[in-house]
Amino acid sequence: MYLEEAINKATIIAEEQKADFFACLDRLPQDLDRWLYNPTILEEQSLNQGDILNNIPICFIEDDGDAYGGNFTVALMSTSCDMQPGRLPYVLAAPVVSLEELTQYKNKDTANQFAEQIKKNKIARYFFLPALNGLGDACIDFSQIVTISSNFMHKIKSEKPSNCVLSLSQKGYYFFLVKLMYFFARIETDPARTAA
Amino acid sequence: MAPTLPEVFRKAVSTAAVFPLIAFCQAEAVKKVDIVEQQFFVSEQVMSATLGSAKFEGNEFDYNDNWLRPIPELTRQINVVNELVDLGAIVFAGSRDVTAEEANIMRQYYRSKLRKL
Repeated sequence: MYLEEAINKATIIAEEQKADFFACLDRLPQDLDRWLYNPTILEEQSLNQGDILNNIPICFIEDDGDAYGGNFTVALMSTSCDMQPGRLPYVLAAPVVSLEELTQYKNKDTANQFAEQIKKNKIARYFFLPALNGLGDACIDFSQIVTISSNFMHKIKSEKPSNCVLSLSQKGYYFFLVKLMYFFARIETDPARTAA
Repeated sequence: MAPTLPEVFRKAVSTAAVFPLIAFCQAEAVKKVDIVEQQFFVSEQVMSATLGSAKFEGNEFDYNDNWLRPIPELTRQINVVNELVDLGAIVFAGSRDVTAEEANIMRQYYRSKLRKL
């Protein structure tokens, strides 16, 4: 089912508002940068879900079983309460991928289309981040989440505040949660499966 | 007929994915969308009643004083929640497909950024 069809069938949206709703969603990411981010970095001493930080070391285990690392811009994925000092020892973070760099690996014919899909959040594993505060157009890669010491991240936040480039607004945060939940959730359609 | 426990539980879990969708739809970016505020409240009640204070008997949900709504109303609300979940999946989820080409691109991208430790 396509977006317009789904909206037209939805009984929960007032009939007279359906056209506006579709138009609003269809024009994403236009104006996204106006409401996705908070005007300032949230609470300088706290880590908040969705915060974007520059130059953070992360690593992955590759095919040969060895660890490969590098410094990335990351988005904090843990819930804000779990990232409070004295809570969990590690926080979850996902790398932020530069759209310009990523599309370099596509051929010219498909690179623009690929970038547009990401910008419209049409790919489940990417959350689009419009350019701001020195960050070019980018996306959070939900499929490459890693863990980082919570103490280390707090130290970065307090001692290197310039590394903290963006926080999500309340509306942006909701949008982020929707994408994140649909990335991880699988909606079951057959109750009998869970009853077994 | 009362819904079975797994059925109610499944619906309630789906509700978790709906909270931010409702909240987002109520936010300024789509403020003209008329989603009844009470649905958020009732959905919260469904979640609370299901996962918290309700009692179970066998495989059936035994609604008692802890239930905040009679079953027909609850069922109606569950249907609303289901519709929101389905709509949200279409609006926000995007494609889960990963082609071999895309997987290769991601591999190349990350390998260009990483060094062996």
